[in-house]
Amino acid sequence: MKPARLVVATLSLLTLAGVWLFAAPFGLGYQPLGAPWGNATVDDLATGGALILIGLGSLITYCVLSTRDLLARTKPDPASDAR
Amino acid sequence: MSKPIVTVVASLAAALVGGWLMLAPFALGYRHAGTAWNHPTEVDFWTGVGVVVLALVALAASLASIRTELRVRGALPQPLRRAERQERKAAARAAKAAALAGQAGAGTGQGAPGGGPGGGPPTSAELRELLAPLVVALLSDLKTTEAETSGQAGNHLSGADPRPAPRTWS
Repeated sequence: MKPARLVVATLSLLTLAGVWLFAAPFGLGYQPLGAPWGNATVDDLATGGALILIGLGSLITYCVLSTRDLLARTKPDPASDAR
Repeated sequence: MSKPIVTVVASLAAALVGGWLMLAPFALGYRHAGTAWNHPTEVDFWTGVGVVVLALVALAASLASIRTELRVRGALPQPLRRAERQERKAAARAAKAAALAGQAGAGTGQGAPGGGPGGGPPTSAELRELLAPLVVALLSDLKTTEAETSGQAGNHLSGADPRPAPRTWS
């Protein structure tokens, strides 16, 4: 696997880990709905949110930079357009 | 080039978050010491382990990507194949052997073929001509030093110098 693909795959998995952390307190039942949030729930939500931010933010930045590179490579030559 | 830097920063941040996830149950006290691990502790710890592993994989891949990019740009040398490496070693060995043969020829007074001012290793006559002023300067320096030391010894003992006269270099 090429390094770039591996990076994108791992960043996507990190984002999914953040989503899992967000859902775990409610999905696994250690935070009943309606009850005040405990330490574990607050920590899981904060850490999960941070992971989602890091993963999604870097993925979006990566996509934007890749698109910019692609556009710069496929930019038509102005000299050939003038002819 | 900025893409791998973004991913390096993101993976480092993710590794820190993973480390915090592993520590949080103990630091925040929702897992009491000496008791069995409860559900939140297990979730946080094992998710933290997974996050750290993923972050390290992403970091390694980003660094590999940076290295590839630097090689493409010429900032790092291209990796050599085994055949090229062996060829280079053989060439270096041959060059060393040729240099040693040239030195041996110069030592016996036979200049290496093709040697001289036009290029190639210098002959022994040229070397002698080059080194002669250096040898003369060294000898005069040695004479001066010996004369100074013998003069000091004579003053200190306030008598005749028992040592033999300094050698004369002719």
